Amino acid sequence: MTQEQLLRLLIDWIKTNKRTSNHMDIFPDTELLESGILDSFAFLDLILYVESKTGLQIDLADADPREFAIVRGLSNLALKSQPVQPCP
Amino acid sequence: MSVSVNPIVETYSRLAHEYDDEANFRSCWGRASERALSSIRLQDDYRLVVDLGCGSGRAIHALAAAAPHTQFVGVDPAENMCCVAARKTELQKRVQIRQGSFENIPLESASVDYLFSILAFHWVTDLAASVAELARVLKPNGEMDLFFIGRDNGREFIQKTSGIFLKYMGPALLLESARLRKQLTRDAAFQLFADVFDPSCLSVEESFRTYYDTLDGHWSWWVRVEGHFVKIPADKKAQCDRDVRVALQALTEPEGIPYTIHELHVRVRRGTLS
Repeated sequence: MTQEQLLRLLIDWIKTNKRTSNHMDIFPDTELLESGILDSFAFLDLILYVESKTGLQIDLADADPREFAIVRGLSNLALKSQPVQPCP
Repeated sequence: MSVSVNPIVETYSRLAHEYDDEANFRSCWGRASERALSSIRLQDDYRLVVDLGCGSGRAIHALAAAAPHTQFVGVDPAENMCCVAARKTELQKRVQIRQGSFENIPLESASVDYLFSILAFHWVTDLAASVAELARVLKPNGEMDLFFIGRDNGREFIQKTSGIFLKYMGPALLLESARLRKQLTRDAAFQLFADVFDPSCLSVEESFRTYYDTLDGHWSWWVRVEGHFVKIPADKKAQCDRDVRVALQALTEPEGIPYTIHELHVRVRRGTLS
């Protein structure tokens, strides 16, 4: 999946599931957490969604808090992730 | 027996001896708990009543005092909470306190006439297993009231503090802490229980009540959710606390600092609910 495709996947999901009621548009540089667009529960759902759609396992251990809550930062984190390993 | 296996249970156990502090009782959670308790009506034919997540035993102590012919069992996973509750009810011979959890209720199958729980169910670790256990211990005509927080609880605080917790906890710990709570929408809660209980006997009501308090008033109950933050490194905890207090203070309105509790109330009643 290209970065452009992943950004589109993220933005579409966020638009559908955002926690704010206003009609704010979502861009790659939109901050999601402090803005209230997503809360931590929604972030969990989003990560599970991205993992299910991409087959990637997003490793949060080394994620940069400043980048994590920005659409493009989350996209970059996902693109650096490894595919889910099949069970032996 | 020790079933303190998760940080929430360990935190509540550690805080058991301060749980009945006046500040906690006056807080939004104390007021919401009293509101739920005051809505409970025990029927004369209830022989066994269970409080699941009984904490320090405040509710079961009050109900048992008013129902002299009913047996009561309070269940809580936190060992020290059980000790506090047992001491509080030691003169009430029809009250037993047992250590257990929603996922592992220490009661025989089909033995309970009425089960209630006040602001505890959102801490379960396994939703489906917990609901199955509730159905197992209730008699076929048993009744139940569960009060617990819903998906949109505390929106004001969450929006103000999520960025701060992200900064001090990092993404992994922040999301791990979110996983500890099972905050459902009303529809999700209904579906969860309808998979096990007869939907015609089941209802799920939701409410949004805003409680205003001072910063210190709100802070007094922050200990109740401290389990979320136990993994913040000690050297960052003080600064994190300071930042959170500043953020919450910024919410101040003329009535005080608002906190809106999104409460779900699952009711199971005999026969068909109207």
